[in-house]
Amino acid sequence: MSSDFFQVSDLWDPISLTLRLAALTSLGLLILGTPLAWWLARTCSRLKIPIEAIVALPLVLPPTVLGFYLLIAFAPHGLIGAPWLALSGHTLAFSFGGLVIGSMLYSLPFVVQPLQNAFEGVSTNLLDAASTLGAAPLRRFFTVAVPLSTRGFITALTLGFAHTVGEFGVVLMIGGNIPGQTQVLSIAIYDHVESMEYGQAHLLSIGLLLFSFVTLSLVYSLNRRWRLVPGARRG
Amino acid sequence: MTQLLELKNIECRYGTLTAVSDLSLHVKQGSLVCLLGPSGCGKTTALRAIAGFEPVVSGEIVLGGKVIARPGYTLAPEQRHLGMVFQDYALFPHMDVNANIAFGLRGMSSAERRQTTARMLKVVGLEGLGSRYAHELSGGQQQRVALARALAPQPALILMDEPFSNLDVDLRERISLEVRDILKSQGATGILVTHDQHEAFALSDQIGVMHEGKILQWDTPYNLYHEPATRFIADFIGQGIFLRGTLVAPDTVLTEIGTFKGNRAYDWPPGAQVDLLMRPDDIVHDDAAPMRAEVIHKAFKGAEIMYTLRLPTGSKILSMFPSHHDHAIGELVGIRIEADHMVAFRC
Repeated sequence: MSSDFFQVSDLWDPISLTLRLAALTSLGLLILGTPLAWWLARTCSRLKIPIEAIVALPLVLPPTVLGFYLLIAFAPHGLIGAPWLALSGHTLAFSFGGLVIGSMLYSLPFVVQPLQNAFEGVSTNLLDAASTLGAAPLRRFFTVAVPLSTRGFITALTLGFAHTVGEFGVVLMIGGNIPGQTQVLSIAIYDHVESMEYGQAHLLSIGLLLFSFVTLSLVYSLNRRWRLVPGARRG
Repeated sequence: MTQLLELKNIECRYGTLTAVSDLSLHVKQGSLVCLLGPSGCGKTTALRAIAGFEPVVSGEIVLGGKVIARPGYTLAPEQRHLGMVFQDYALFPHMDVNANIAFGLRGMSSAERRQTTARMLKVVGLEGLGSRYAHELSGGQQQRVALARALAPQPALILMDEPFSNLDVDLRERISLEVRDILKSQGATGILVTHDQHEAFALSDQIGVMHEGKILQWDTPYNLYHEPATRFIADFIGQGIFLRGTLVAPDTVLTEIGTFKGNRAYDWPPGAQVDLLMRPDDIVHDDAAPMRAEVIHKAFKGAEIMYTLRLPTGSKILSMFPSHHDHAIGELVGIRIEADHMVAFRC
């Protein structure tokens, strides 16, 4: 097989794997990140600052540091790996499940920070008004805070998804390079370059470049347009 | 009439700062009362404690015979069934006027909800504006939506936190009279918190003047103005100056502009030095009067002019003249005393 000739599945496998990983990661972060962001936005606790710092760590740490510690934790005798092995019968390191957990940590700030910003913009008076009108905390959250934070949710989901699509270091450390299981787009590109398959590398790289550009443009244009919609105005 | 709300010696603190101390008050069903005081006097904290946003560290709050707050226990605001109008109105920006008013109407069929919303819109005079958003309304209209929203669930008590302070000054008094009419028409019981005495006078049956976390006097607007209990209230409510005098009999004070005989007796010894409160309406213009004072300052108020006058002895007094008595600064004018109330404080 010449290096200029390639099968569609060679390209499609990493793409579909990456999309699945990004979708699951964003969904997981939405479920776990929303209460965390709400707590951070509303609390006066002394724990707020250290927890904000922990959430922001993936922004500054080299992915290899995160990946290294995750690899240790995911090992069959590791802190997370051992119970996982006992429960599921599989090892966590070099598996898709491990990738999802790693990606969630890696993309955490990209979801939590926009949500926290949006929640902080919801005036306490509006929530107080809702409570005098008989709304308990959960109803206040879903009828007042969430609709007023639509932009924050869109930004958080898009950035979380896009950032997971673009990750490399953490995946390399904890996922390795198993086609169909842990070989995501960025790894596949690296692999193709290593093997001098520049045609494939180009195709995937340009695809990723376009995807990222379109996604970010969408986020920016939505953010701008939303401001003009009456429902999303603040104050 | 029965007591709807009772505050029994409540105290509220922010950390080490005591915002409200030993505060007691009773509000009867159907009455409109006001907590009036300068900023930082604790009036908003007291209101927030009634609403359930601030805990009490001592004392208790009783609503309709049920304890809703005592040390270690604060019934959640959503379980108190109180309405509240916020200073910035706090209308939900993502909902139209109808949805805002209907927010507190749970456990109703959608037809009932629509009916109540329409009725409340009519009560506050905003028919036809139900599908507008808050930012499409004027300040006065937003204020009325906030009132309609708070009244819609028929709360036991309606709390208003500086509700007129975002309106233009000339609108405030008119709107506070309108709000009074709306509240009275609904049979509502209300507590207003404000630093503006004109709003307080326009809206309330009774007013508690607060200073440093305490209520100094609980009285009608008329009595607060004419019979202030303390020097602070005399100073805070209305305008006026203090004129030094000597108590010659329990109900008589001798001053440089004459002898005042009043409606209350003081038990200080004769000869005691006192400060006599002189309201601008206690001194009237009279060209024929022998007493003359020099105009040193004047403020045109429309129907009246407020003159600051200097007496021959150098003391200053305030006097309100009808507007057509236009005198220049430096001119000597005749004045006469016409005081029904004598309020004196011992020096």
